[in-house]
Amino acid sequence: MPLTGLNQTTITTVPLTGLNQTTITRQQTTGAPNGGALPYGWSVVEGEIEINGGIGYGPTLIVAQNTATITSTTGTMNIDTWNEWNQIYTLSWSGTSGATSCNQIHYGGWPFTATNVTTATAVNHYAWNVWNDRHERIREAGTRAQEIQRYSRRKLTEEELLAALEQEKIAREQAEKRAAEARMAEKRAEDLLRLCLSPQQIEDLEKKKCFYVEIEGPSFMKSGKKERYRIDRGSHGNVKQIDDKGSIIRSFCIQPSGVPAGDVLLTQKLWLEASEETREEFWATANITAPPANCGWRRRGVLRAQPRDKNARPFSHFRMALARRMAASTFALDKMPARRPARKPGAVRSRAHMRRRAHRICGEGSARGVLWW
Amino acid sequence: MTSELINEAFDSPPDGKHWMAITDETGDTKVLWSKDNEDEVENARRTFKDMVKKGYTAFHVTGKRGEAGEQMREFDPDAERIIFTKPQAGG
Repeated sequence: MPLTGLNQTTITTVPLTGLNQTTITRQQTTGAPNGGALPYGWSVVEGEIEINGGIGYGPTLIVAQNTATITSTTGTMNIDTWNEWNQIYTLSWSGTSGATSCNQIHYGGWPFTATNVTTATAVNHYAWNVWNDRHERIREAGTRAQEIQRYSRRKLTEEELLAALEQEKIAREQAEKRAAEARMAEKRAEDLLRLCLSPQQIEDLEKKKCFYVEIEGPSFMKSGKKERYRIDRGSHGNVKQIDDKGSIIRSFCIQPSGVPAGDVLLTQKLWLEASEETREEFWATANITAPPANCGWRRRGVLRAQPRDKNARPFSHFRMALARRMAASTFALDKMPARRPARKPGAVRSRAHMRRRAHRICGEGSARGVLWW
Repeated sequence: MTSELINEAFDSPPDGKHWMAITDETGDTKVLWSKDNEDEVENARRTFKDMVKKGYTAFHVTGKRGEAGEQMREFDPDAERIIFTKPQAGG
């Protein structure tokens, strides 16, 4: 890419844009050839950032200060200094090292001829732009660059750091885009939900963060009693069947996946209200948590009414289970039929059973010595 | 002319059109049709079948006072508002 349309400037007139300090001073030239005047391989360290241009030479510390001068041991700006500093632009010149004019400047592998330029202006100009460009990007990244460096196992080169910053920037932009899309989806789902709610339900949703649904009871009950459900904001276990006083009878955990919260509430409402068939399917699919009477939520048990296989819908078996549950005014686990038939009197009982029974009757201390009852 | 796909919320369909809202991760995608336009109706009918085949459940929603929806098994071009819900699973 040729360098066109750029104004040539000198170091003393161009501030280091984006940096708080505006001077570059080469402070260390140890190991450099030519008596330390021309560091061919050196590094730039600024804070956490190290620009490693080393070709077997010790690092040179570049520190920004308050005045715009570049110093070397010879006190002159040097083409080799810029050549090494500038990792992208390379200069080739005619004559011996330290010549004051150059005839070719390479940028990113593309050489072009610079005519009638002096080293001081041309070299300063291009190097300056590269410097500013690099550090402007690093400055924009701010503390993030330092964090990336801190959590890295090793000292990153400038290219690696810039690549990491670029990746981090892309990831952040994508995350922001996804968040904006999610917010938009939430709003749209909320609008659709409100479209299907009564004014009272909308008011409840705003004030109490829930709304109530009242439906006819199952036809086989023949009691004509209505069922009341409370649908809370949320997605898991947010549907509650309540009694006349508002106490929770049972809780349902059922939801569609991959939709915003508004769509979840709408789906639950539609399934409960639409018909007895959809309501049965709602019951059959949901995980139902029923608190036994007078036991609060401590002894809750989870009842699976239906196998998870969607293709098999054993409604007949479910209807029986539903009828058994609905027959009890308040469903209690304690009132469920015994799991095993009662033992016949005189049947042989296991030693473990006897120990448990002794433990139950006499307490823990007495259980140890009892082998026979 | 085929039916329109709209990805925005509205209270009432534009120009008295009928619509179906398919709930998805973007909130919902709406399909509009005019019952006088056969192409639009046919496209909506095809969409309806596709969604039912995917396991979605269609509800015909009427009124604006929270009336109960009615489950639909066949597409009805006269239905003003149809809402498709995704299959549910127990949590």
